[in-house]
Amino acid sequence: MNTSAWLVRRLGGAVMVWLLISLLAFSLGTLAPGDPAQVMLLRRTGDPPAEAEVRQLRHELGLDRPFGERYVRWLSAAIGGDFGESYRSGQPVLGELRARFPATLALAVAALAVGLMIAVPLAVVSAAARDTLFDHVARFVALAGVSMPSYLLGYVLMLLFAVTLGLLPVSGAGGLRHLALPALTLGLGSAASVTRMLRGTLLDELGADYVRTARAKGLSGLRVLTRHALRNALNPVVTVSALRFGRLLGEAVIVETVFAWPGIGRWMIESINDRDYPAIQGFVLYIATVFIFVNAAADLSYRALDPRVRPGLPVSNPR
Amino acid sequence: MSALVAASLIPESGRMSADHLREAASLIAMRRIILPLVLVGCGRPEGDQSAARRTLVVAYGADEFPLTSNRERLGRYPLNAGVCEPLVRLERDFTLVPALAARWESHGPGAVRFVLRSDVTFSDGTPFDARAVATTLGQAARTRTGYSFLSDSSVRVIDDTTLDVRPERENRRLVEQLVHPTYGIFQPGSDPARRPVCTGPFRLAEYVPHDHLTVVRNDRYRGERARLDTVIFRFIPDETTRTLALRSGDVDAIVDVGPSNAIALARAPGLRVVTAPPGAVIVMYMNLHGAAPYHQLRDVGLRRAVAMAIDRRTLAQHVLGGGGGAALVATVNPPSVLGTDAALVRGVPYDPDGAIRALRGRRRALTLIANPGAIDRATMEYVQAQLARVGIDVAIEQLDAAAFESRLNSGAFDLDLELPNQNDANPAFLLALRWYSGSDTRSAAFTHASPRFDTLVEHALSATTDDAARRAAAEAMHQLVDVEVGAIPLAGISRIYAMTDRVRGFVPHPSRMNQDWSTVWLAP
Amino acid sequence: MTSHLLARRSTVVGFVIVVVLATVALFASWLAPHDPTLVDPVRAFAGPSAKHWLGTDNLGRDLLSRLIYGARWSLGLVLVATCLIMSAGLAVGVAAGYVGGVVDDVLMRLVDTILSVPSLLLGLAIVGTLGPGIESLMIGLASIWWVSYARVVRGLVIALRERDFVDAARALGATDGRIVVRHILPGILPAIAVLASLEMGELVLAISGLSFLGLGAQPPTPEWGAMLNDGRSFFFTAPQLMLYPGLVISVAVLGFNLLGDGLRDALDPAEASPIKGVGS
Repeated sequence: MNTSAWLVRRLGGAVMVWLLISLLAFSLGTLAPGDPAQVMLLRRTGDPPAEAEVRQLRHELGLDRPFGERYVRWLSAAIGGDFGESYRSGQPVLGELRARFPATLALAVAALAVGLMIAVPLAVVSAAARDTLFDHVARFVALAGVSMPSYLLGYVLMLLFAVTLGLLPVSGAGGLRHLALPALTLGLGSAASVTRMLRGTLLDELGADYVRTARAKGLSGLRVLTRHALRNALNPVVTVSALRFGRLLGEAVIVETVFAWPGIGRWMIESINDRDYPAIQGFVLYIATVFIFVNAAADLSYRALDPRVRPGLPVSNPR
Repeated sequence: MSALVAASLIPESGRMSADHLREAASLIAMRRIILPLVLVGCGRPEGDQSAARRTLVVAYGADEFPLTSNRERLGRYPLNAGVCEPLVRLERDFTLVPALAARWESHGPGAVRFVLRSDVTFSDGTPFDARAVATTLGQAARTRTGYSFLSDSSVRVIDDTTLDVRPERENRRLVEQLVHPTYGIFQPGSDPARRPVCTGPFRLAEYVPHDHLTVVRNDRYRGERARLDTVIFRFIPDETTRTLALRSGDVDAIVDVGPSNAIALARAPGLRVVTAPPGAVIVMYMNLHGAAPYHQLRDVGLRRAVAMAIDRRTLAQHVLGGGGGAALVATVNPPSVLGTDAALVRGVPYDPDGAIRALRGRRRALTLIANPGAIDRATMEYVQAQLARVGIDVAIEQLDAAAFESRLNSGAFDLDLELPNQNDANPAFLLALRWYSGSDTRSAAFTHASPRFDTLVEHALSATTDDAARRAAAEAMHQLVDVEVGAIPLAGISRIYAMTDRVRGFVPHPSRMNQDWSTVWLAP
Repeated sequence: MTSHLLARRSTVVGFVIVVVLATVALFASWLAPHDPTLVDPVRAFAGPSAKHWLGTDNLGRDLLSRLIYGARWSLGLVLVATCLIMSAGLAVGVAAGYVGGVVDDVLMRLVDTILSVPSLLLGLAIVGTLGPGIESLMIGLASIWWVSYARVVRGLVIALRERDFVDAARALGATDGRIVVRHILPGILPAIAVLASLEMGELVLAISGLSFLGLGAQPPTPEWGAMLNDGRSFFFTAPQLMLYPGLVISVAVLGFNLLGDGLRDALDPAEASPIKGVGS
C-alpha cells in the first residue's frame, strides 16, 4: 500500500472516530437528568419557571427538535469553534478550555519528565544489577508506586514538603515552585510503571546477540549500554509513554483537585459538581479532538521516520 | 546523564558489587535531591518587603458572586470586602450605629426620614448624595434582594442630604434591615455587578471569578483610613487546602475553620485562632409545602419525630465541639439577639423512643440538602445516623452552591441544613426572611409556616420599641420551633478565624458579612 | 503452569492478599466487631484501644469495622463491574473476531472511539453526568472498560478460529454457536483470567478515585475511597483517617497486580506480553 492511500485511510479513520466520539459527547447531554431549559431559567431568575416559559425557551433553543437535528446543529457549531456556553460562568466553553489546557499540559509534561528522570537510572541500575537485593527492592518499590492511589501520595508529599519542610507552596498556580509538588505526585506514579517497563525491555536487549557480539569485540559496558541497548530499549517505552499520556491526563484530574492546580481537570470536576452539561460535553469533545489529532500525527511521523514500518508488510525485527 | 553515570559504574562482568551500587546510588541521589532543592531555594523571591507588609491575603471559601442571586452585589454580599457602606452599621452586640446616615426618624405613617452625612464622597471623587441612596434602594427593590417590602416608588428624595423611605407594607424594622451589606450605597453611574464605586475604606481593584478579589485603600474615605494598602481575598473552597495555605504562609488569614482544624491550628507555632461571638445557628429547614415526592414533611407528626431523634447536645459538644465553636441553643438566631426573651423558645426535647413510637413502625425516606461549605460533613452524617436509628433513612445530596440554590428554590428537597447569619439588628430578621409567607425569598414558598406565625411576625415587624420587637419575635419563634416544628435549630456556631501572628488589629464580628478588615495591620 | 505460578514468591503473595481480602469481604458481618455506621461522637478520634483496635473516626465509628465492610463494598463493586465489563467485552470480542467483516470493522471503530479519550476522563464525564451514586459508577465504568477485553478476545478468537479443530468441528456439522462455546471460549479463558486480575487492580483505583471525588459511594457507605474523602478535612488532626484506607487500597491493588503479573508470566513467559489493560 503506498503512502497516499495509507494516508487517506488513516485520516478517514480518524475523522470517523471523531464523529463517533462527538455523538457520544452530545449524547451525554441527553443522559443528564432534568430539563436544560428549566435549569437555565431557574439559574437565570431564581424562580421556578412557568410551564409556558419553559416551553418557549425549549423552542428557542431548539430542544424540541429531533435528536438528529439537534446533534447536527451542535456539531456544526462545534466545528466552527462554538462549543456552547458554560452554565456556570456564561462564558464560551471553548475559551475556558483553551485557557486552562496549557496548565494541565505543563503538569503532564513535567510529570512525564520527572517520571523519566527517576525511571531511567533506576531501571538501568536495576537491570544491570539483576536479581540483587537492590533489584528486588527497586522492583517492589516500583510495583508499590503503581498500586498507591495518587491522591494519597499527593497528600503525603504535601504534608512532607509543604508543611513540615516548608520548602514548597501548598497549592495554586504560579511558577516552577507551585508546579513541583503536583508534578512530583503525578510523576512518581508514572516513574513506577516506566521503571517496570524499561527494566523489562533492557533485560531483553542485554540478552540479545548483538550485545554479546559487541562485548566480545571488546567494547566497554558503558558504550554497549548507552549506544545500543538503551536506545533500543527506550523505543517501545517511548511509544507506550505516548499512550500513557492519556492515562496521565486522567490522573491529573485528581492531582489538580488535591493541589488546586488551575488546569482543565479541576475545571471538569467543578463542572460536574455544578451540573454544567455544556461544559462536560465540550470537555469530552475537546480532549478527544486533541488526542485523535496527536495520535494521527504520531502515526504519521512514526511512518515518516521509519520507512521500514509499512502496514501490510511483516514488521522486521530490529534485533 | 544519570544513565551514563550509572552505566559507567557497570564493570565488564555485568554484575555490580555492593560498592558500585552505593556509589551509583549516592551519585544519583545527589542529582535527584540536592539539585532541585538548590533550584527551589534560589527561586524564592526576595521581593519588596515593605509592600508585602502592607498587603494582607485572606482565604475565603467558595466564590459565591457568580450565583444568579448575587450578581448585582459585587463587593457587598456575601463577601463584604469593605468597599461599600450602608446607611447604618451593625455593631458587635447587634445594635445600630449611624454610618452614611447621620440620623433618622419616623416621618409620617410607615415612613422613615434619613438625613445623610454631608462630608462623604465616593472613591472616585464624585459627591455622595440622596440620589445615590435612592438608586441603590431602587436596585435592591428591583432585583428583589431583600424582604423589606421596598419598591421603586418607596423612596422620595427631598434634597441632597434628605430622603424618605416608605415600604409598600408596614415595616418598622426597616432601619435595622438597612444594615445589611446588600444595601451598601453605590454610585449611580457605576456598575454594581462589575465595578461598584462606593464610599468604604477600600475600593475594588480587581476581581477574577473563583480566584480572587482585590481591594486597595480608599484615600478619600471619610473616616479613619485603612492601615493596609491592599487586601486580597482568595477563594479556596476546600477547607484542608485553606488550612494548608495558612500553614505554609501562602495566606495570612483564613476564615471558616472547622472545629478539629481549629484545635490543631491553635497548637501550631506562629499561628493563632480567633473565635467570633456567636453569630449563627445551624438550622434544619423543612419543606412544608412540597409536591410529591417531597410532600412528607407536611405532616407535623413526622416533623416532630425528626426533631425528637436528634441529640443536639452531643452534636454541639462532641461532633462540633472543641475550639469553643459550638453551643446548644433552642433559637434560630443567636440567643443574644432576643435577649432575655430567648427563654420563651424551648426546643423539642431529645426523645428517640418517642420518635420511634410516632413513626409507628413504618420506615421513611427523606432527602437532605445542605449549603456546601457552610455545613460540616460530620454534621450531615450525624443527623443521618440519628434519623436512621429511629427509622428514617436520609439520602444526603452533595451539591454545589448553584445546584443547592436551584433545589431550594424549586422545592426539590425534604430537609435543608443551613447556617444562616444574623446580618442585621432586626430580631425577626430570619423569621421574616424564611418562614414568613410574605417574604420575597424564593424558598419561602416551601418553607413558610402557618398564618398564625405570619401574624406574630407582623407584630414583631411593626413593634414600636426594641423590647416589644424582641418579645414579639420570641413569641413567633416559639410558635415556629415548639408548636409547629417548622424549623429545627441544631447548634449555635461561633465563626472561627485563623491567622499568623503578624496579623494585628483584627476584631471578629459575630456577623460574618459585617467583618471589618480596615482595622487590620501587619506587623513586620 | 501451576509450577510456574508457585515458583514466584511474589505471585503467591499476591494470591494470598487477594484471597484474604475476598474472605474479609465475604465474612464482613462476622469479622467486624462493630456496626460501621454506628455513631458515637463522644468517643470521636479515639486512639487504638481494646474496644476499637484502630481507633475511631470523627463521628466515633469504629475504623476497623469500616475498613472491613469497606472490603465488601470496594471489592464487591469491583466484582460487579468486572462481570459487567467481561460480559460486554466477551460479547463484542467474540462477535468481532468470529464473524469478522463489516461487524468487525464497526465494532473496532467503536473501540477506537472509546479509546480516543483517556478512560478516566471519559468515565468521569459519564458518571458525572449521570449523577453521584453507585449505579452511575457501575454504568460509567462498564461502558468504558470493556474495550481492552474486547480487543484481546478478538485477537485470540481470530487466532483460534483458523485452527484445525475448528474446521474439524464444522465438518462434523457443529453450529457456530456450539463451536464458540465448546471450542473457542475455553481457549481464551486463561488470557481473560490474566486480564481480569490485572484490570481489577486498576478498577479498585478507579472506583476509589471516583468516590474520592465524591462521585461514587455516598455517605455513610464505608467504601475505601469515600473514607479517604471523608478523612480529608482531618488530615492534620487525625491523618490515620486517610492513611488506613489509603494503605488498604494500596495493598489490595498490589495484591491484584502481583497476581496478574504472575499469571501473565506463567502464561507467556517468553514474550513481553501484549496483554495490557485500558489503564496502561
